[in-house]
Amino acid sequence: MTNEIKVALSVLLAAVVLFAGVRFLSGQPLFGGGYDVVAVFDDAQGLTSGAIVRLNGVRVGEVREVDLSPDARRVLVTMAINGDVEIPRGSTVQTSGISALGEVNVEISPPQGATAGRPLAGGDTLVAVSTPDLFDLISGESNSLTARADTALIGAVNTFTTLDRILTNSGGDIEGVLAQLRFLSQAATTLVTQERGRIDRTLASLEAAAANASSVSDRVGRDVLDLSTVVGNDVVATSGVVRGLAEANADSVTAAVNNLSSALRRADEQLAALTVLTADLGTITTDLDSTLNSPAGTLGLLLNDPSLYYNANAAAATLQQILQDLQADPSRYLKELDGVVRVF
Amino acid sequence: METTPDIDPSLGARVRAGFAPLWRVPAGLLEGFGAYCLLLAGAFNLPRDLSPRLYARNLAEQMVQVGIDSIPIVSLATAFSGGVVVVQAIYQLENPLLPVTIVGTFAEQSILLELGTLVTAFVLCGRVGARIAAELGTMRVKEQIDALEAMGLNSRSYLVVPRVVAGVLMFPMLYVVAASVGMAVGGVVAELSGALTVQTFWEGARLFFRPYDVFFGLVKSLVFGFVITSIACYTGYRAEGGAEGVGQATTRAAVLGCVWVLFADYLCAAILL
Repeated sequence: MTNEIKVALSVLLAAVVLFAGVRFLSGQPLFGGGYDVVAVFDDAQGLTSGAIVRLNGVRVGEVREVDLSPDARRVLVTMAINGDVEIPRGSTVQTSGISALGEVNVEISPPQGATAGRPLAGGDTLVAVSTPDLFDLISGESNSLTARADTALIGAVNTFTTLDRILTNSGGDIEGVLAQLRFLSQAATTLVTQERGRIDRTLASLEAAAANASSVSDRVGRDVLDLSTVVGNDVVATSGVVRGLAEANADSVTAAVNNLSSALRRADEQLAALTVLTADLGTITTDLDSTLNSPAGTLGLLLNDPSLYYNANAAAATLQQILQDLQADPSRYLKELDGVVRVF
Repeated sequence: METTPDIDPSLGARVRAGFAPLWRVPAGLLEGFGAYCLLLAGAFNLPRDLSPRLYARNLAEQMVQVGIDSIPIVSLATAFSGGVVVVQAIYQLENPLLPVTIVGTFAEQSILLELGTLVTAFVLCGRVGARIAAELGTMRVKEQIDALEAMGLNSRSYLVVPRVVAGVLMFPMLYVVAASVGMAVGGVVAELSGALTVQTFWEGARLFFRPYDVFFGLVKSLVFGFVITSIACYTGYRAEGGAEGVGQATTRAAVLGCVWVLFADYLCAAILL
């Protein structure tokens, strides 16, 4: 094999591999072409050339170009569809996947029900259904979440500020309390250490006492059991005797009961009369009370009007002053009585 | 009696000699670049002294040596590169929100845009660049080139043009081989890793594929082929001093080739992407 043939073969082989590799990586069949369908999107949402085009989830081609429309209001996505795939007319197209992860693809959905007309051919146009990006949805929700988080954080900051102020203001008290607690703890520790022997002995004594109490309790329990047995037997015997006596004196008991019954009946009658008397006495008392408290009556005025008391009090004071004056200077009053005495 | 100041009359020469090392490096670079341009200009000044058939036969021989004979080593290098890219993409795929198809996307972008050309270029710097520099350097120190010139032949055209044209023509073929092998091995590694299936790998590779990526890789491979072979011809043509000079020319061909490939890579990315 000459050098020329070697070179020619290697170059041709490389060209074939190059052609096949580019077709393969572009998602196009090696032989036989497909057809291009243009989808019009409002927003490409990260769609790039090379993205997979699926029909009902099955890969049928790929995005060849993503371009803006001449007026820059729409996005024209040219999709290379494999030649053996027929896309029903009226199909809807939308993006799928998450742009942040670099996996935005095109999903074609055939129309519901029977399809009319020929399937899509090369150069046909599909109008896309706009679907919001997942991250757009999340970012839209994040505003309210951020506001709520801000409110919560402000509340937390206020709470901690108040707590800090309280702790700062009462720092001395808390330190004092802690110092006292520490002192008490040390004192208790010292006491326990010093009195350890005594505490051990006390605990041993308590243990022995508990053991004794337990044995005593057992003994008392047994004694009580015996006692209850004896008492029970005695009670049974006594009730038997009482029953015998009652049967023997049945007539006397009946007569006594009859007398007691008549006496009770009489007492009942006396009690009824006493009740009537008490009611009358209550009425009289009420009348008397109203009479005494009435401001129109003499007794009422006498009891309730303070002017009589004040007058009597003033008269007594005047009389006392006259008597004192008489004791101090009797001649003044005797001079007045001089005429009277002179008559006699 | 008049006294003259004690000034060395050769002071200016000494100052110039003191600053000479600073000037020597850029002057050498400029001189080398000029010689490189002259070599290429003289080479592509098409000769009239030899028949086109002789040139075609010479070109075919160089295409075989530069291209076809390099296929095994290029395939091996890019196979491992593709596998490593996929393994590292899977390793870094810790975010559960990221789809596993991104492994294929990552591999496709890396191999078609960068690794397919750059790994191939580095391999060819060692294999083709060193071979050309050693070949021409030996011809230079053995004065075979001088003999050609003495016979009235355009040695630069006869020796340089077939090699450079072979590199420019065969490097795209090697890029296609490298990209194909790298992607194929990447798919196999993805399947063997258990993290994703080969179908998912190819789905991810097709997700963001643009034919322009391949075009960009082909253009870069043309540039790299020219850079590697022309620099190798230049260093071999300027070899001097026997076997040691040939060794130095070979080393310079590999090192300069790698450096200028990286520079050309940046230029291509800045201009074409």
